[in-house]
Amino acid sequence: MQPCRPKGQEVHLQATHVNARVVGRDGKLAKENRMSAKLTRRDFVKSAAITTGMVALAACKPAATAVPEAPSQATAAPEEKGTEPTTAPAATECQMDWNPTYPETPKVYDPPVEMAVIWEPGAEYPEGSDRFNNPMYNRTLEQTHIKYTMHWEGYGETATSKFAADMAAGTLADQFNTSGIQLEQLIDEDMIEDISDIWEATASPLVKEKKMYPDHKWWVPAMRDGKLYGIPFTWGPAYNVDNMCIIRQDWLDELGLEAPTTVEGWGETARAFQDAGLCQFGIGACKNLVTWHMSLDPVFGAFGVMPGRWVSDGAGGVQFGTIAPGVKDALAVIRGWYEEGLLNPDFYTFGEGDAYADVSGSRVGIFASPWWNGGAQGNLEAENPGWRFMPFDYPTGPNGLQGRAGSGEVQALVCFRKGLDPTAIEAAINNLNWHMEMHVNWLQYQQYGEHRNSHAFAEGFEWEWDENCELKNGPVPYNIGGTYSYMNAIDFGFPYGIYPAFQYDVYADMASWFDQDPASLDKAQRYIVNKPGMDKEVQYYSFVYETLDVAIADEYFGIATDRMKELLPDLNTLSSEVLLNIVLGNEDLDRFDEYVDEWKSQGGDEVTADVNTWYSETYG
Amino acid sequence: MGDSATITAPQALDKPAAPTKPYKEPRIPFSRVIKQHWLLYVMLLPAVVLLALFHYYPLWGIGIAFVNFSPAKGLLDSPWVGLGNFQRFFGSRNAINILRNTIVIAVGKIVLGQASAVVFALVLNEVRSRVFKRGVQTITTLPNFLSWVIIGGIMVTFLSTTGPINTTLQAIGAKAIRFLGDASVFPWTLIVSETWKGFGFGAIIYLAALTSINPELYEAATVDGANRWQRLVNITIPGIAPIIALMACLNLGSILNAGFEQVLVLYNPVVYKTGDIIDTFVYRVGLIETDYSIGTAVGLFRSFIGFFLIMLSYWLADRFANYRIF
Repeated sequence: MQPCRPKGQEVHLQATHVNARVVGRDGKLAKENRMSAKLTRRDFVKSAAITTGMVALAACKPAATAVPEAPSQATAAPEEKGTEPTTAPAATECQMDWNPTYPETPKVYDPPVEMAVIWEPGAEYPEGSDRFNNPMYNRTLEQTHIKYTMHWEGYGETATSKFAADMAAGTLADQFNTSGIQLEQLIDEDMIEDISDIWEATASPLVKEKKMYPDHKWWVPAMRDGKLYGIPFTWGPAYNVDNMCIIRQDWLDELGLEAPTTVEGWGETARAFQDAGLCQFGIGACKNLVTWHMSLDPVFGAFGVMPGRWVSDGAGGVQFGTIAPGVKDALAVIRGWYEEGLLNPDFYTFGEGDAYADVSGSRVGIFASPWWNGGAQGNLEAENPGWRFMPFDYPTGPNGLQGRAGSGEVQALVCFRKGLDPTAIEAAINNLNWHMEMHVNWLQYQQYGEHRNSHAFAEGFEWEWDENCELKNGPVPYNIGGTYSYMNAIDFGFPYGIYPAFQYDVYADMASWFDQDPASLDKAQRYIVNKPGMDKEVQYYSFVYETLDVAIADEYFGIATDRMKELLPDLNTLSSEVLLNIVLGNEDLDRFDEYVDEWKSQGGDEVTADVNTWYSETYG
Repeated sequence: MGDSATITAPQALDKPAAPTKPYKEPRIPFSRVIKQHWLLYVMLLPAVVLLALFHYYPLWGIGIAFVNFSPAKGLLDSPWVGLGNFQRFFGSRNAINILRNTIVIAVGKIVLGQASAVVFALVLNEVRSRVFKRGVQTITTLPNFLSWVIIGGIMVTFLSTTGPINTTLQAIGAKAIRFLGDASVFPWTLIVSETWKGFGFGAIIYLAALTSINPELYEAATVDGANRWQRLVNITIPGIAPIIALMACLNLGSILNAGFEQVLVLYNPVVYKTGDIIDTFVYRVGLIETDYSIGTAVGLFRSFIGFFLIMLSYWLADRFANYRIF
């Protein structure tokens, strides 16, 4: 390498000398030579061998089913009774004292109907079982005669791309879930089977009644021009993300206070907690003011508004909740809390999960979270003796209103590809019939797996025998990632989307178990009752379901028009920026009024018009 | 006649000799090259096939940027919109701001990243102890392999109002800085953290280039009386100048890639004004409705600009520095 480059000469990066040890034919080392020397056969063979070895090493991955993937989430049962015994008591010693049965098979299919479906990866299977041989799979095969086969497996983004590839190639799975614009495109291209006749003929009266066919709004996306394109699965109005207000009861007791009933009360109680040194801040929040966890939606609801939701405007149409005048009042309250230090000063950098760290770190005393977080709260209580979380009623605002952000009820559809054998579709609907019967009458059939996310309540999976012949957690209890996936892989939302009140009804059935003398329950019931956080979940879900009337749900569930797709990104950016800046004090409260005008003039009016067109077409 | 005393007039000089052409090696026919070095080409073949299959063949997908793509219809049957998708992006109210943010953040990262890598390499090169050198290099290279999801989580805690930096600031009486909540500070947070993460790895190339500088030059300079600084300026820096030019040229191609993962993890609505980049905006567009067209259009725009800049920098280097980068 020369430091100076004379003009006119090309300079290339030169490799430095490569020390090649070349052995000549006479066996003696040749002199060091440069890269231009011919490669000898020996060098070639050596490098080829190394390359092949490395390729073989890289290509040998453990097969997906041979080695179960490590569980990615922490277990939810920290106080597992003892360690796993290396030798379990002989199974024959312990007897089940309940007798699970199944509903009658709706129709016999011999040979079983085969359905190629999309699987979720990552499920854990105990020894001796796998994806095609486990209680869930086997019961579907044996009771309803459906044999699920592999179309492909994928999750999240991979699944989205694979599904798009399927759409392009026309190789859809036999049964799959879809919604939104994908559903539109598939219907337009005639790639989904019209199942109106088969549904009418096959669906049981129980199913039609519970799923409120055909009048309820969740059938709206499924039906076009009198044709039925899929079976909606719905998680129930409160199942998903409706939040509840939770407070640290132990702190209330310590200070001799009652849970607050008004929005001002939230501030006062939080201040009391802080002044008494019980917590660093007071109220939990995250960067999304209205969201599925650590949300401030009860505060907005108290003023009768809900940002981000399309709500009735009282004149037969809908309007965007964020520009309602009540939002300004709610922002004023939250802004005041922030100034006082009742909110974590960095709350706007937290996502929902990060914000929850303030709860588990005991830095906040009042927060809003979904009912299913009750299990986690139960765990925190078990780990920290003395802690007690309690739900309390939604705060009222100056006009005595209450409100919370309601979950959308309209979810995906279960669809069948065009050209699928009608027998297969019939079998799938019969499967739904069978499931519905089993779920509604779960106590009669003693199918205890139905208590949460219907699953096969099987020994060696959900539960195992412990040394007292009582039940304890098995290798894949339901609330750990494993069972969830292997269940998801099979029943496609049918169980937990089966009908809206399904979880409420089940918990209502179970509520009495907690009051009964444990000895009068059977072993399975005792096991469920003793699950950490279970009593909380039952209490919480009942609470959130019974307060359905305060939920402010999104009235709009259509597909974004082209104009909306253009305008919404900027409008949403503007909205979230302004709201958060007002709360933090970077902007004045009056900025809100300017924002409303900006929102309307920068495309909000057009978007509102489009949404109202959809609304009148759907309901008009 | 004493000839020796006469000075003979010099003969008329011939015309100055025609400048000789620079010596060019005789061309070897390509077929002979292949015959001689066929093993090398065979070893190259898998990479070429891979490139053709995964980089050139999918180029037909560029068409997605010019249609309203529906996977069900396929590319050929999706309705043509021409430049409509590009208009959708550039017609957006925030487009100029987003572009500006992207360029500012990307340029900041390139400049600071390369500068710190070079300085670090130069400084580390001066160290004698090999153990120390290796240790420091390992430690500084490690953050590069952690994903932004991990580092972002750590950073949110580290830069919080109750984190170490702000506590120290408050202890000495200064006001706490909102690293992730102040629109004027946020781009610097991004740039500095990315630099911290990548300078160790980036320095590897420069360290390698430094080892290729002939040590005899240093010895000669020392003999001539050059001190450390003079040696640095006159030998080391010119020695790695081609590498710096190469890295700069390559980095220019990614000027519109400001680091999606990092920004997504660290940003929040408060800093949209200066922190929103092209990718995060397109991401939020995608949350409204799965839209392959606009993502492809924006990606195509980025690649086009990047390609243009690489060609420009190549031409500039060639024209003004007589340096062919590749």
